[in-house]
Formats: sequence, structure tokens, C-alpha cells
Amino acid sequence: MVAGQAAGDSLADVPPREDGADLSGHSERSQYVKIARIPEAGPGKRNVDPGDAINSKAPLDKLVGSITPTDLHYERSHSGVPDLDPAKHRLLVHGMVRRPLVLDIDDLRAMPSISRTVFIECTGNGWENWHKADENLTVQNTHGLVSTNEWTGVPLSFLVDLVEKERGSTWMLAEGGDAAGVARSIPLTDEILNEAFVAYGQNGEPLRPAHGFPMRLVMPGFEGNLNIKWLRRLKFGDQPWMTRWETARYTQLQANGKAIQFQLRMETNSVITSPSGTMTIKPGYRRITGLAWSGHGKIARVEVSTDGAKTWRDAQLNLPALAKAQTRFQMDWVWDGKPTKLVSRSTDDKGNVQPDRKSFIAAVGTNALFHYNAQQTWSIDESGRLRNVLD
Amino acid sequence: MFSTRRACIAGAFALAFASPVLAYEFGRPATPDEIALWDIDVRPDGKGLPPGSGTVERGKQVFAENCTACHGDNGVGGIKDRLVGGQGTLTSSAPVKTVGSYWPYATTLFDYIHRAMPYRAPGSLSNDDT
Repeated sequence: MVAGQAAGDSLADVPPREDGADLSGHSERSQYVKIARIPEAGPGKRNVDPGDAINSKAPLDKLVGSITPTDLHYERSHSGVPDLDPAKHRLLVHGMVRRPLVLDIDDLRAMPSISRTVFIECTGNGWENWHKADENLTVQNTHGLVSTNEWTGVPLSFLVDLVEKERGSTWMLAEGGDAAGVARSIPLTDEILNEAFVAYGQNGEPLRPAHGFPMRLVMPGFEGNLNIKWLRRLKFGDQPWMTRWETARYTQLQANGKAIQFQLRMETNSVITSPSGTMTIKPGYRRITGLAWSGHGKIARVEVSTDGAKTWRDAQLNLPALAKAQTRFQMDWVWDGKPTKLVSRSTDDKGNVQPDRKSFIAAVGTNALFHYNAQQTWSIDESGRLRNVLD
Repeated sequence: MFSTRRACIAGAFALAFASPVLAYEFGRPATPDEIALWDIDVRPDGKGLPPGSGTVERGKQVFAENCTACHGDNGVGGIKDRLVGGQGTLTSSAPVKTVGSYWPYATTLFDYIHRAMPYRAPGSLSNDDT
């Protein structure tokens, strides 16, 4: 596309150099870059009043690389974004501990810290396609509830030692300082004790309010809603609390009418971001690119099909592929101008393969609402227009 | 497993003997009174449930004053989540998840209403009114 535009012009048409703008306190995007999240409500509820939105989706079709710009990281907030003064914010750590503590942001910043690049994904990501595929959806609409940032904070294990958690405590309640007081029970597995952390930094700066300022929990590889924002309480106990969010909300209704609780890990997933839904391509050389991620570990392989999942080729991964972070993939392709379908499927280093939609639906039904990780298919018609289809 | 446990014990001893002063440099002890202000969670076994009582009549009044604007006169037909009905729909292609059809624990209802409702004034309901 770029090559086609350049072919007809001359270097003489490029504007001459001119005086630049004044230097400033922070950098704005170019006026030529139009890029933003899209606030949405539930599945199929788009173009809603911002007051009715429950999430805001990242523009995956316009991003490159694997890091999401901070202001474009997807957002899911259950009761708006509180405006918290860090000087007045406190974190209470209590329950089955020998030394219950009150910590503030300065305490956290004085503790040993880690930085880790991980994806966070709303468990509702992909929920547009449970029953049918709206052909007018972009990849931002279908998969925009996942992002990857570098987060900095204090390991949970450090706090656990600090308050002297009792050995009998096997669960932890994490509660936010938002109006809804979102609270989740978190099982204290070895993996979670080793990897979870209380973050105060995001891509090198303090957290943005939409992402939990001044402090949040980060749970690499697990449901976005467990990464409690505006964190103000950690309570240790010996059984789950069965809050609204783990009984009525973030559960997966099965075909038999029963629901699965505490399906916490985000699955092996991928999506082609370019070309993708509503884009139009011309015959000839194309570069297919997209993102893959897994809550189990590193992305080991991404395969791409350009013939509707009949045959597959290995895509190139942009290394390093980090554990529980999004990995960019790309592949060369020459489109012959005939209608076809593009599909990607990822495999992680634990051997988990992203399922095709038919097997996925056969296994879980169509009512689960959350944890949709079936392969995404984009159809291409003879005019080169791409559409969201089920398979 | 054995080696992990042994490492944990070793770590605990190291913390206890090598750096007890260091551990106290972060934060301050939480007092029982202030913990009680924030300790609002209620478990299915009733732990955390405060004393209180109510009547059906009083409940109707509280619901009319605080809930009907969003949830409808009888928990149906409001602009926000439907609260009643839906039994028998969970295996259909259009499941209706309500407190009646989908919430497995009464304690969750108390916990959630007490902490988060009404939407514009969360935490404003007394224990009895919740």
C-alpha cells in the first residue's frame, strides 16, 4: 500500500524542512496519528454513551510491536475511575497474619521491587463471537480487551513475609478502593505467591488512574479482574469469600446449566491484527501480522492459515517471547485475489494449542460468556474486504 | 515439596533472626478498631456477617427508596440488572442470570449490597437495611 502511493510521486513533492515546534514538558502524538480506545458496553453494545460503557478497548489494529502505549491500555472498570490522592490512600494487610499492617505508597516504593512485562486480559475478551459474528467488527471490537505493559512493584511474597502470614492461610481477598469495592478471592498457589506483585509503576511512570493509581495487584497470566485496581485491602484467610464477582459475574455457564467458578487462568490465544476486520487489501504481496499470548507461559509457535484452516505455515515470532506477555508474529503472503480466509493459532511452551471454534464450542457450549479463546477467522471477498466470521 | 518447605522454614528463620528490625521499617501496625472499619467481607459460612435484622415490610420500603430506580419496581424491568426470575433459563440459548436463578449464596448478596449499593451512594445502607 505504501509502495503504491510512493510510486507516483517525486521527492520534489515532499515538503521542505521548516522550523519545529517548541520543546515541551511531554510529547503529544502527531496530528496525523488518529488512535484511540473505544468505550463499549456488553457484547454487541457498541457506540454507547460513555456513562454506560463498562470497558474501553485497545486499538490492536493500529498498534505495532508488543507493548501497549499506557494511555491505550484497555480498561475495565466496574464503577468508574476514582480520583485517589496517594497521600491519603492506605493499603491494609490483615486477616490470618501475625502482624497486620497499614502501608502507604511511600512504604511500597521503599521496598525491594521487580519490573515485569505481562499481558492483562479481561476475561470477557472475544465475547462478541460466542453466538454469531458481526461482519462489521474490527479486531479492536473483537479482541481489544488485552494489553501488555511493563509493571513495577513489590512482590506479594515480600508482603506475605512482612505481615507473617499464618501457614493455614491458603486464600487471599484483594479489594479495590473503587465505589464498587471490587473484591476477589485468590488461591495462594506456589505460582501466584511467586509471581503476583503490588504494582505502583506502569511503563516507567506511576500508574494511570484508569489502571489503579496509586497501587494495584498484578497477577501474571490470570483473569484481568483479579488484578485489583486501586488496591486498598489484602486479607488472608483459609477459604474463598465467594464475592459477587466470583459467583454471579466471572463464572462460565455450561450447556448443562451449571457454572464453572474460579477458572482463573487466561488461555492460549492469538489474533491477526493486520489485515483484519473491515480493512481492504489489494492482490499481491502482503505482510500478515498479529499478537499471541498465553496465561500458561511463553508463546512457542504461531501458525497462520491463508486458506481457511486447511493448511498452515509457521509465522515468525518477534523475539524475545516473554512469559505471559503478548508476542508479535508476522508472515509473508501473496494474495492471488480469490476469496479466502485468514486464521491464526498459537501454541505455548506448555504445549497448549489454541482451539478451533468448532471444537471449542463443542467443549464449552455458547453460554459461558467469558474465556473465549477460539481461533479468529477473517474472511476476504473478491473485492479484498475483510470480515469477522465464525470460521 | 520437602525441599521447598525446608527452604521456606529456612527463610522464616532468616527473617526472624537476621532482620527483625528491618521488617518494622515498613508501614505501621493496624489497630483492631481501624481494621473493623474496613473489614466488611462476609463468607458463605457466615463469618463476617454483622448482627442485624429486618422485616419484609421494611425491606419493601428500603427497596423502593434505594433500588427501584435502577432495578425496577419488583426487581424486573429496570435499566440495570434484573434481580428476580430466570429460573429454568440457564440451559437455553438466552440464559437469564438473576439473584434468584444464578447467585449460589445469600451471604454474597449481603456482602455486595452492603459494599457497593446503591450505585451512587455505595456503603450507605445500614446493616439492618441491607
